[in-house]
Amino acid sequence: MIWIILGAAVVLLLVWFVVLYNGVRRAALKVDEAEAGIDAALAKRYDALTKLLDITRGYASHERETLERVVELRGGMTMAEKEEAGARMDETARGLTLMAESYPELKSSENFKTLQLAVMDTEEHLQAARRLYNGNVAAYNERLVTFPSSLAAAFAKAKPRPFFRADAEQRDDVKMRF
Amino acid sequence: MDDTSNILFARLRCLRRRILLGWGLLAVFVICAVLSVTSGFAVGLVLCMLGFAGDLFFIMRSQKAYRRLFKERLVRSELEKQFGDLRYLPEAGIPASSIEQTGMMRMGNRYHAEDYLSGTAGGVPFEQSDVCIQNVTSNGKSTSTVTYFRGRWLIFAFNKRFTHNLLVVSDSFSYAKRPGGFFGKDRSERLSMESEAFNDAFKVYAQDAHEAYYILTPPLMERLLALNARLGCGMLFGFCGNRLHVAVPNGGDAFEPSLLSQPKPEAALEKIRREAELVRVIAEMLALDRRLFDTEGAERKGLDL
Repeated sequence: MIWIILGAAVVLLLVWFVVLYNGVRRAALKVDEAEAGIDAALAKRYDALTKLLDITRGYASHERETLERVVELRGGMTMAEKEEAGARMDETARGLTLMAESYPELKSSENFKTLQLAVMDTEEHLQAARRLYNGNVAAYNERLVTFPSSLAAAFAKAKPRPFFRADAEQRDDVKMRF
Repeated sequence: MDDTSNILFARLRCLRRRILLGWGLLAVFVICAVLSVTSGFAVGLVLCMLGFAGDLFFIMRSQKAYRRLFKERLVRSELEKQFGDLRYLPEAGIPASSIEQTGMMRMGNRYHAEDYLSGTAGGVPFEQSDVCIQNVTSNGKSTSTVTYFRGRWLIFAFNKRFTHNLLVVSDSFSYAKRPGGFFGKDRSERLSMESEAFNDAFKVYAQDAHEAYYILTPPLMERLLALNARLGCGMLFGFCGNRLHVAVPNGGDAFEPSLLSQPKPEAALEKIRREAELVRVIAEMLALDRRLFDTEGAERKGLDL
C-alpha cells in the first residue's frame, strides 16, 4: 500500500515538473515569436522609409546614407543590432520630416504625406512589437528566477533574455543636421 | 426661443394634458367598475370595461403622438445642430446581429433597441442607439428576467486598421463574454498591459497580441481610463472589424420625454444636448479624429505599402 502511495507521489511530482518545464519552454517560444515580430516590423519600416526616400530623391542624400547603413546590419542580427537598426531608421525618419520643412512643394505632395503617415504607422507597429517582446521577456525571465519554475529553468539550462531598450540617442532632443 | 419652438412646446403641453386626463378617466372607470361589481350592476360593469379599454387605447395613442412629436421635431433639430450627415430613426436601433457578431456580449433572448443615430462627430463617423439585452427564463411557476445590458451602444470608425478582435472590459461589466479559455472556440488570450492602473480597471482579451499592443498604446490606455472614470459606469470597449464598439451601461433611455412634469423648453433642450454630447465626448477623449495611416487610401493612390 505504501509503495502505491509513494509511486503515485513520484508520478505527481514528475507531472508537476513536466508542467513547469513546458511552461518555461512555452515562455521562451513566446519570446522568440515576439522577436520575429520585431524583425517583421523593422523590415516593414525599412521598406516604408525606402519608398519615402525614393520620392525625396535629390533632397535627402544624408538620410539615404543613414538608411543604407541599416542594410549592413540586417542579416542575423542580435537584439543590440536590432536596436541600432531601429535607431538609425528613427534618425532617417526625423531627418526627412525636418528636411521637408525646407521644401514646401515636397511637404505639400500627397504622396509624401501618405508615405509619412505610413512611416509613422510602421513606427507604431514597431513600438507594439517592442512592447510585446519586452512583456514576454519579463514573463520569461520571471520564470527563471522564481521558485518553483526556476528548478525547471535550471534543468533546461535556460538563460535570461535581453530586453529591447530604446536607444539613448532616441531620448535626446532632435538634432538639426543642416 | 423662436416661434416654431413655442408652438411645438404648446402642442406638447396640450398632448400631455390629454394624456393626464385619460389617466384620470381610467381611474374613474376602475372605481365605477368596482362599484358596479359590489352593487351587482352588470350593465354598468360592461360599460366601465368598454370605457376602460377605449380610454386605454386613447392614452396609448396620445403617448405615442407625444413621443413622436418630441423626438421627430425637438430631438431631431438639436441633433442636426451637433452632428453632420445626421440620420435619426427614433423607432429603429442597432441590429442585434451587429453586436452579436463581435462576440463580446451575451445576447440573452430578448433584444430591444431604439433611437438609432448615425452621422459624424468632429469628422468621426459613428452610429449609436439605446440597447436593452435581457434573458427571460420561465419554469412554469415564475418568470425571471436578467438584464445583461441597458444603456447606449456606440460604434465608431477607428483610425487604425486591424484584422483581429480585441476586447477591453471593465470588471464591473458583468455580462460581457470572456473569450478564449481552455474550452473556448475563440483563440483569444488574456493580456496584462504595462500599466497597473489599466490592468486593475480593465481585463484585456486579444485574438492577436501584437495588434492588441498596436491598438492599446500608452496614450490610448490613459484615455480609456479617463473616459471610464468620467462616465462613472463600468464600460466595454470592443475593437472589431476596424471599428470601436463602446458599451455604456448607464441604464438610461436617451431622448425620452418625461410625462411626469410640464415640458419646460430650456430644461428639455439641455437634457437632449447632454445626452447627445456623449458621442462627442467619447470621440474627443479617445482622439478618434487623429489622422493616421489608411491602407485603403494609399492603395487608391497607387502606393504599394
